Amino acid sequence: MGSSFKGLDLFGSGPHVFEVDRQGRRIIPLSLVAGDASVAGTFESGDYELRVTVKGRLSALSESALWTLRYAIASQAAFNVEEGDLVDQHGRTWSDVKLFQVEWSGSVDRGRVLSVGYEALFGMNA
Amino acid sequence: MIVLRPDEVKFEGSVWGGVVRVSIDRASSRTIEGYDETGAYATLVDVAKQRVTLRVTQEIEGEDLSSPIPGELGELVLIAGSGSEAGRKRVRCECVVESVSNKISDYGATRSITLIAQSDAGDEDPVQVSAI
Repeated sequence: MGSSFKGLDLFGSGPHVFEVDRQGRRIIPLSLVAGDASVAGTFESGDYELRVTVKGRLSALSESALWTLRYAIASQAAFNVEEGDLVDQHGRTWSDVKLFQVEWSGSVDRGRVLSVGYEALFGMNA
Repeated sequence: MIVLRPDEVKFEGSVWGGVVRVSIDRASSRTIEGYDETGAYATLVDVAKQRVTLRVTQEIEGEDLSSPIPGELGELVLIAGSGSEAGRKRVRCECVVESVSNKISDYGATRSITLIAQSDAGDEDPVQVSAI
């Protein structure tokens, strides 16, 4: 099956993988809170927020088609865009996540097809 | 592409004599390989940049005080013969001399000239082959 975000096939034009960032309790050094490096100890401050990164390449046969694919992703990262469900290629679903940002990996490669790499960061704020 | 004993080789109008072979190699200088989560094999492979290298080997008889200079840009034209007029081909390529090296032994001397092809437009094959 294909991946999707809010039911949209944003990444299906090329290969892509999903990476889940660290999970668990967030341990904060007291020295950081106190602003004093000599203060020892740590405390727990909830859990890490969910972060899922989709890394891959968009591919298309024309410049305009590639830009269409890029705009489709970038528009979902704009401020005030609603959250939705992110689904990977195996049906694993992360519910109610936002696309925080997308970064393009360098210039467009022009071979048999046009392609560009990207990293799209999804997550939710606690 | 290999041409053995071409009928004629010219570089920017100058005849290169004694050419025994010309090889034209193509290699990727940027390969795209993309994998997804469905398995072990690449689902996108593409060559985004490629380098075309030409090697001209000459047999040198006697002294030769003139040779191309690395960095020199010119059009290499060679006529690939088939032993008769039928089937002769002309190969043209704009290219830059990368290196010139000589080998000398008791049996003779050879010169190898390596050139890198340059395209007028990035999407145009710099090596043009046409029938004569």
